[in-house]
Amino acid sequence: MVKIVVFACNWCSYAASDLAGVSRMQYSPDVRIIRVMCSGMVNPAWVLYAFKKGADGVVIAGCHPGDCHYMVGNYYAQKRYILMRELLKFIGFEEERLKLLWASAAEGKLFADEMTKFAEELEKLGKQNKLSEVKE
Amino acid sequence: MKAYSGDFFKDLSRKLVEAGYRVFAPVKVKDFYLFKEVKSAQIPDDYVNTVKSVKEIVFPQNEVLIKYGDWIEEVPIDEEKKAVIGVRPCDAKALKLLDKVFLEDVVDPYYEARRKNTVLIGYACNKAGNYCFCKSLGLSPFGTEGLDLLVIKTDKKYLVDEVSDKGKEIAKLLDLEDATDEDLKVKEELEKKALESFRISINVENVKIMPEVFESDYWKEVALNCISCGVCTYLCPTCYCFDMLDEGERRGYRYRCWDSCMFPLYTLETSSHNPRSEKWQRLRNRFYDKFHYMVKRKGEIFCVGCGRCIEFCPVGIDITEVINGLSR
Amino acid sequence: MNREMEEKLKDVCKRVVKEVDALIAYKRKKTEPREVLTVIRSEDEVDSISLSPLSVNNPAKLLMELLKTEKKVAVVAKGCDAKAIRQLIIEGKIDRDRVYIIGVSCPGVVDYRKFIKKIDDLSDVERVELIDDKIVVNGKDEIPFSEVIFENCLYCSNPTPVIYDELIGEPREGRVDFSDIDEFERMDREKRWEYWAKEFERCIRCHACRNSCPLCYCTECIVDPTNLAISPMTPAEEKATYPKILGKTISISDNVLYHLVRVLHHAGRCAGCGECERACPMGIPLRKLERKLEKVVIEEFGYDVTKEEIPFLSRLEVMR
Repeated sequence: MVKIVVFACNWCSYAASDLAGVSRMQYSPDVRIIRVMCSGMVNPAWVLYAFKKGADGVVIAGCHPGDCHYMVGNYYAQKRYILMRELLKFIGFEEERLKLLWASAAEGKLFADEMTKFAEELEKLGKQNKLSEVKE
Repeated sequence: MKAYSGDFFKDLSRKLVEAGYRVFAPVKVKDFYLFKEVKSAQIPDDYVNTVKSVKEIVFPQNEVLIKYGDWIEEVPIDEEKKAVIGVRPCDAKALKLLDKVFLEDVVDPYYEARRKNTVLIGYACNKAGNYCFCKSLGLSPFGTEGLDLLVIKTDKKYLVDEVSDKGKEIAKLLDLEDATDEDLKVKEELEKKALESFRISINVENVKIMPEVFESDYWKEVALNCISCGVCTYLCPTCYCFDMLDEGERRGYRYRCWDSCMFPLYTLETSSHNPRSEKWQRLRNRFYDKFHYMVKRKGEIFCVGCGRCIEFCPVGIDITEVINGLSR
Repeated sequence: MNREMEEKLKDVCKRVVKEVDALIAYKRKKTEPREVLTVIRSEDEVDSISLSPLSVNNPAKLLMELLKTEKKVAVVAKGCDAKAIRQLIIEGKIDRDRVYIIGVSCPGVVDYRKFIKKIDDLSDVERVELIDDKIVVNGKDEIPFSEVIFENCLYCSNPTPVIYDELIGEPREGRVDFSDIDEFERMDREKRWEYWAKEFERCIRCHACRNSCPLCYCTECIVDPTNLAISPMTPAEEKATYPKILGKTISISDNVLYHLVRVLHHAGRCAGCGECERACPMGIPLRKLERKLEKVVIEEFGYDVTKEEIPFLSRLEVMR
């Protein structure tokens, strides 16, 4: 049982997860989705807070480059993701636990598949115990 | 006065661990010292003082008070037996000052439990540090106030002064012989030499004019460089301000943590009024609290001359220069 | 930095202080050779200032504060200080027309904590100079500079100020050197975590690093447990639901959260002055974290902080 926290943007990736749900597509039940207005709204502090509260993996999901509802929000998300990933790698944290996903509103299947794949990878990595404050 | 010819700290720490004590001693980290739990203590000759003072043992930076969830669970008070080796006389005197705050009027049960169960084994300073000024506050590098044992290192042996009853009991763990007259003479000489090795001093007479200079612009000058970081209060052995915060929503814990009068948030009220919103007001308050308000309330200056605030202030604000520069 | 440069600086200051309301320079403390920042307003105060390898502090933050009450301020700025001032000008915190920058070409400064270990009696030290590659104390005692240099200065990329109104000293070349970061990254992942966990364990969350950094000027910092920027009109609900990412707990996860968030806010903005590492009482290697981000910014995004006009975090990167 891994815990995955997804920050999904309201216009594209959250709609994709909705579509996956409505079409009864099965994917890993470990995924907890938080709806944000744009992936560019995701603060790196929230990502670290999710890890602190015991999340094994965090996904930032947004619209495809060029398709953002607010024009350029997802480019900022990508930039912050790169900085965050490099820094986590530097301090010895498994940077594979942070993922950036582009999913448009019609890609329900893609969303479900990516989540299942991510959950499998995380099962192999094991429980996150470096930044986690939650003691089992 | 007793004497010991072996490696006192190493042997005593080993005996204390066997007797069930948790032993804390100064350990070198990078190029400074911190108190850490050890199984066998060794204090090299270049040890002056630790960066964090002894107060972190009896008054830790984070202390969980209660846990809450479906019900409230009280966290048991810490009553473990602890021994701290290598405490300097200034830090021990500071704990005596903290006792006046926590153990008079309303007794703080957490502090009381820790204080009662902690044994302090002191180590006299043969030479004053670069930033020490305890002498001008009436204290001595060979002082015994607040300690259970005071250890003095001479060329040949360790002299042990059994200050309190608890100290006498601890000393029984090792075979101590009586000190000879020559040992006592060596101690007198070391003490005299130590008292002459102070580089800086503070003019305690200036403290008397503090009530008259409260409104002076001097404090604005002094606080020009201050960045309100709080390092001085966190490292000070006599600062005791704390905050109580809750962590967690439906399930969590309430904890007590160190707070600092230098933080802008310290006096922020719910109405958004902040009586000390400017940093010179906070700096002025710190000096007045230590040298004037505590004298009025408890009768003693709440500074022991350890010099940590001078050494670690990032911008070089110097407590001795500030007090010495006071004039009408 | 020797007597000559100090005298030249004093001549310049005697002229400049007449044209401005205040001048920020370095001054020796009374009881020890450490230097602190001071503000002088008249010609007769100029003789009390000094310039030596011990002039370490960054005046950018004090400059920002003084400009709130003074009309025109002059400042003595070394290479890294000028970089911080330039960044603050770009971000709109300092008005370029109200500042007169006296640039000083810097060969590197001394790490004061290493310095005092080499001195017997601090009160005897009257003069400290850098001549060739030796620190000369009182004109006679010599210490090799490499033994007391502040480690950050070894990787300095802008020893000559990037912005100045007049310059003291000859322009120098900096270097872009990330070899120590590369070497650290070659270490095994678990060893890297072990190293950082040991460092972050010591953090006492005094926030001296944040307070001494000239680029950390937010009044509403995400790591404060309460919101400082409230007014009598702020509703109680807003005060109660302030996002508490961090309290005052000291555990490895909280300390990592604080440091990483702080460093991420400096991506592409950090001036490299090292005030954070200098201020830290626990000796945490904060510059390593910042320099890793500097490396990412230069190598992956191709952003040169001394030449760009748009702050890095605001610049749009269209990457595929």
